[in-house]
Amino acid sequence: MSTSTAFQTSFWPIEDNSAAETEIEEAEVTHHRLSENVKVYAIYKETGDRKFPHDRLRPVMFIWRNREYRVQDVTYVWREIQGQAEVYHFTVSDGANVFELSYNAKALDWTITGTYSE
Amino acid sequence: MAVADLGQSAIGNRKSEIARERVVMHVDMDAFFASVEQQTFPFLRGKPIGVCGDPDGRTVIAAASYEAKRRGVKTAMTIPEAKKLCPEIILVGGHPAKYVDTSTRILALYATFTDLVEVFSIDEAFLDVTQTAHLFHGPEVIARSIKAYIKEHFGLTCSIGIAPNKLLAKLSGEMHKPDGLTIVGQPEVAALMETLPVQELCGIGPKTQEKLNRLGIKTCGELGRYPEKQLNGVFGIVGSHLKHLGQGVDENPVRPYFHEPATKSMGHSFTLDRDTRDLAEIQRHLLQLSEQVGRRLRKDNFAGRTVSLVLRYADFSTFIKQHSLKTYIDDGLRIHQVGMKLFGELYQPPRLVRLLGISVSGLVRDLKQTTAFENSRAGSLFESLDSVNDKYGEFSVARVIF
Repeated sequence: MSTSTAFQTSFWPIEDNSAAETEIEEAEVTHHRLSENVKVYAIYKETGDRKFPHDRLRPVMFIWRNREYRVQDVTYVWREIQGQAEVYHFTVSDGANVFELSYNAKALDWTITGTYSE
Repeated sequence: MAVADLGQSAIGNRKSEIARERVVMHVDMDAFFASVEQQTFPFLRGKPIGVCGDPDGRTVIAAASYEAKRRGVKTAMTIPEAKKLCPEIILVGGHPAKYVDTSTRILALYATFTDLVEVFSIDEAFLDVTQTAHLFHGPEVIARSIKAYIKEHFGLTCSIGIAPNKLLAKLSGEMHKPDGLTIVGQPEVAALMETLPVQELCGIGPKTQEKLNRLGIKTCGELGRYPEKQLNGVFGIVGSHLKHLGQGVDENPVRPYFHEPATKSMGHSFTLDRDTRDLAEIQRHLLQLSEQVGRRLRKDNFAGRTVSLVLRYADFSTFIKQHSLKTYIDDGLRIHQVGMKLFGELYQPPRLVRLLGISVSGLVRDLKQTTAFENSRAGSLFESLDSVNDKYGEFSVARVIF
């Protein structure tokens, strides 16, 4: 048995041991985590990058809790593997708020997974 | 975008000079995680933000936006330190999967220009375009194409350095950030290195810098002229390497990412939400970490026989202990059992525990058919558990200890 310094840390760095500590204040971005099915109208482009088809699907409107939201801007798109499913996350803005819509490419369903505001 | 200190005619001259040299490009995404979050959330743009693991937790700043950097906030600072320098900093929880996906797509872009792409980190890469630059009208056109694509598709900026080797490419890329493009040809190298502080070189940390300073060496020019024999006397065989660095000489090739060395260990660590001496809680965290490690091992067909435990107390003192088994394992429960044994040997009650980590090393691949593997009856159970987690996502089913 011997000691070793070789160790793979988690994705996030951890605090240095010289650091002093005080109370941590609240984050200033308000994030409401959700998981609700949502009706989304989207444009699908038949052509484009097949390996990274992030730009081929674009939500333009969604109906959530009986209210209609028109997407003014798709600010970011990213893909994540969840189990066997590819899930595409779209952060969209209606001009006032930012929402995260997720499309499960296996189940072919849309979910609203979060709202964000300052 | 700035082509640093070079007029158009100078760039033209440089093109012909570079054509006779190796052409290495260093691409560094500017404040990567923070920029991705600012792009995602328009209300964060132009504001000082810090991306961290959990804004309510006890992680550190993983990336700061340029607005926060200008206030002195740096990567790896604790959140209280960052708040002290910049009270209005906005803390944002990071999204690793988003950064990995973005990085993967950007790497695919680099690969359209050359197959010699070396991943230096999640937001930095080297490209050797010596053999392919002429196909794209030269390295500068490649650099501008990369910058334009990244801006158009991700809304992000990057800084690019082009030089005859990796050392100089990284160095030149860092000279003008953000959104810089800097080209350094061999004729400029001596002038560039002459006054450059040694600590600016990749690979020279504070300890080496201190030793060099004690020898009266403060700049790369001084380092490059220093007698090699005397450097070797102080630094051993590294002395010659340091002299080369000082001269701007670096013959390391760009190593394509698909030729990277084999994985040596797999591990996870976790900073607890609050310091604890509750053994049941510690055991639960260790089980979850062990299951994560086991699952990663099985996913890539690895097994290992050395388990290491990291234990950090509330006062930040950190201890690491490892145990080597006679057989290879990939079972989270078995990893956990060894981890708990190590914990029992390391833990000094009633000290409060702050961080736990567990890793498995001594890895071998595809060993399941040999007798050295702990091929327990649980094998089919793992396959079933893994298939459920594959289908429905991580920890859809998991073991618990009562």
